[in-house]
Amino acid sequence: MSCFKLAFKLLKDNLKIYEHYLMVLVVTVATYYNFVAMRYNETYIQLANRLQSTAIASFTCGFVLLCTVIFFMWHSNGFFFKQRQKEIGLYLLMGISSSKIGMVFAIESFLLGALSIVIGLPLGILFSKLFFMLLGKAVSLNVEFPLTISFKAVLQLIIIFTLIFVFLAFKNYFEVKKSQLINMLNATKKNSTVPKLNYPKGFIGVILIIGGYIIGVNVRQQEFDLLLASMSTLIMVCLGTYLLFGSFLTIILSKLIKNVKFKYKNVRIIWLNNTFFRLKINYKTLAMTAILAASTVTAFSISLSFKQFADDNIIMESPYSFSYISNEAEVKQNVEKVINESKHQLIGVNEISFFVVDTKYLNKKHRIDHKNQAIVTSYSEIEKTLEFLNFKNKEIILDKIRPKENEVTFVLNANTIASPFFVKGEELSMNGRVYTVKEDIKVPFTGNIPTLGRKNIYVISDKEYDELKTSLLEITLNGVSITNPEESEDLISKVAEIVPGGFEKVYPYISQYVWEYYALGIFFFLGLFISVVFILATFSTLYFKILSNALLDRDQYIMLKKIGMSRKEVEKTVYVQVAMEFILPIIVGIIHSIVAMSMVEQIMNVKFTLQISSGIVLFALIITIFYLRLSKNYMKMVYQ
Amino acid sequence: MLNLKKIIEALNVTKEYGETGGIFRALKEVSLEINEGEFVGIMGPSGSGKTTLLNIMSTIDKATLGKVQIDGKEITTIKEKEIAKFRRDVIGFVFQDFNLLDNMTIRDNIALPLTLNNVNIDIIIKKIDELSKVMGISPQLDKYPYELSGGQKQRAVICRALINNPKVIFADEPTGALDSKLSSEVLDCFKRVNKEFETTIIMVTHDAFAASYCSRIMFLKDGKINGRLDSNGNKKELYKKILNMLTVMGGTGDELL
Repeated sequence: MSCFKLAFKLLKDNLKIYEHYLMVLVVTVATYYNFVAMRYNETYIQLANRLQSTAIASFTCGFVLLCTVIFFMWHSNGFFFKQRQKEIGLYLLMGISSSKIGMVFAIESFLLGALSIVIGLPLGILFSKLFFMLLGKAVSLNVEFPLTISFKAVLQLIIIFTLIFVFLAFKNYFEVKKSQLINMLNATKKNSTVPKLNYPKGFIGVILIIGGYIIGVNVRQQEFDLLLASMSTLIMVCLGTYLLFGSFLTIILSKLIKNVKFKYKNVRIIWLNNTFFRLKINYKTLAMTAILAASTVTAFSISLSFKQFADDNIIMESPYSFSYISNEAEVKQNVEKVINESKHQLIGVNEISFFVVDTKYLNKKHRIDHKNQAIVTSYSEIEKTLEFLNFKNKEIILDKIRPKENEVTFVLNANTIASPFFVKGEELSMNGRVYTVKEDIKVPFTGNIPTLGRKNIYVISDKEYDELKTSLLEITLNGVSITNPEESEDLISKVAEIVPGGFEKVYPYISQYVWEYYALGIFFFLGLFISVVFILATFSTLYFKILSNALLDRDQYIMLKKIGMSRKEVEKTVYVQVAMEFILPIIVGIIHSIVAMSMVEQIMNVKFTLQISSGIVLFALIITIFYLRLSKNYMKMVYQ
Repeated sequence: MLNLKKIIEALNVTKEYGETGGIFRALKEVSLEINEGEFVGIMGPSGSGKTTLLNIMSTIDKATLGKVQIDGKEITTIKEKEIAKFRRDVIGFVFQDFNLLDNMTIRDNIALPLTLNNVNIDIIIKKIDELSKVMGISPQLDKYPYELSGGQKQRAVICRALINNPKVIFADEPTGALDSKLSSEVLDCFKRVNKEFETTIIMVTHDAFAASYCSRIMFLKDGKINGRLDSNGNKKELYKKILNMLTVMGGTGDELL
């Protein structure tokens, strides 16, 4: 039989073993095609030309995606190789030359790759229509993304994946070729030694994680340098996680093993000892999984948050169709008249009054207010605005910010997306009076209009505001809401003729900012996309790692069955043991991601509770499915 | 020899392998009775069915036809759920390749059957102490299997097999992987267990020296019982008789020795 025929037959016979691997490969190929196709899509290219960050983001994502895929393929390939070592040994015993067996295995793994492309590519093309529809929705654009099969994308995908598969085939070939018969036949027999305990390392690991958490949680309150703080949190937590699984967990388990009262109870003795011994080989994968899980949950939650963040911020920056400054009744009447004569319909006008004052913080070294100037307005004005915009959660916000005497509420200006400064509880002087900052929020008021849009807003009580009226010049901004604001250029020029000061006092529809949020939408989409592949690849890597442990466990369970372990007890042991190696790192990862998200929340001054919860719930759901599948397969491998 | 209680009763046990057309009968209507407190050896050439018989008597394998009773309990019709508990409470196993869990200390290995039964911890610790003294492995209790010699490992396995006071111990070539000095150490242990705890032992072996420790030896050939020898207490005499018997049975000499 020729090598090729033999390889084909082997692949057919072993398809059951490859089931999960092939499934993940097909999904990977399909998603990768979509990803590449998106980058060659003309509408997308136009979009990317306007926003360079999109191109960079998609390039980074593509790179990370490829790395994860290679990582996954490398590990699972190793698993299959281990599983079939005995088979290779038998062929060697039968007198087939190692180079010929190597050839067969190389061809087999290449055929497997080809199969995944043959199935995955058409599937990917089929899904690409759906994908672009989703993308269109995600970036809230009504642009049609046409369905075209991108030959460039197909070509690129085939080249990249063929390269990987050829590389893996070569790896298998050389590994078989240099293999020793005796090692192959005794493949699963391996002597393990007792893991050594390293108390300082374990201790340092926990300290590093806690330290990283403390920095992360206090990033805003302590006003740490943002880049420095996030980098040190990242490094400390990553390093700490490695030490946690490498040393701290070993110490904990050895303590449990020494505790006779805990250990000698039903099947505990088995999984405790197994996990303890495995840790030495497994801890790197466990730590890696914890970190990848943390990034996945964070990426996923942030992606979801971007969407909400963008939606929220569009209204912050552009609350009105257009606005103008004027306090003269006649001007207002004329503007209304012009609107009624135009093709637009007037929905409403929000009239807000405020002062511009000089501010000075008493104990702050950073400058908080642009040019040390800020807007001062009254509680009623904010209330009126939120009512006008029908702003969500307005009752709760209004309840929270109602200032008492000598208190102000700080409202971040519309021009700044997120401020790292923490002003709550600070004292500042305005117009010769000292106020304490009671609350720190972000709500729409003026919108991101020239000059005023950069100024922070201080909300004081109506009584104190009225007192200021005598000494300061009040400014009135009319926020106008009309139908079809996108096509209001003609109308705006007419309004500018009416309003004294012309275009200096009239602020047209702010469309360019909205565009920036479309970019956020793309980030949102890329983030979701990456998360999905991350989850799939990370879990599958661990999946195969744990299943290769099952190969080592087989003899052990045959013996345990003989000394009277029931199926139920074996099941219990397997489920706990798999949980220790699969769920534990993911729980650690989820805790990491909660801290990471709290950092983002602090910096952006928003609450993403819903997004984090949904991210974690979805993640937990996927883990549960993987966990049950994995435990079931593990059980199948050790108990027949 | 009065009032001896039967512990194992095998009646017309037949075992067939393969499907219709190419049936191979490993055991042909074998009947065997073993009394409480006996140390029975099962010998025979390769392929004679001795391990098959042991596996059927010890619930590891199922007979195609026939009945087997252990301690009055019919095991050929026993339910899958009951088997585990039955093995745990009534039977002890000792195999050629030691079968200790590499990831556990000797103490934990021995404790395993008791922890599965949720026995009180103080009792577990006490029993391990007592038994390990009898088996002479007390100093090795907190070591891992890879730190022990073959003989020590096998004695640890015997210790584990004995820990929940089984009625019968099944041993399949227990000295197969040991040299002659370590073999006699292990066999002495078996003898002591048989005497002191009155545990019934059934041992499959192809080694005449090992068989000479038994009180009775059954010979199997081509799936049938072919002969039997009873010990009169003299090991050397029995050893010679065994060799004669094997020659008569016609197995090749070097295989049997």
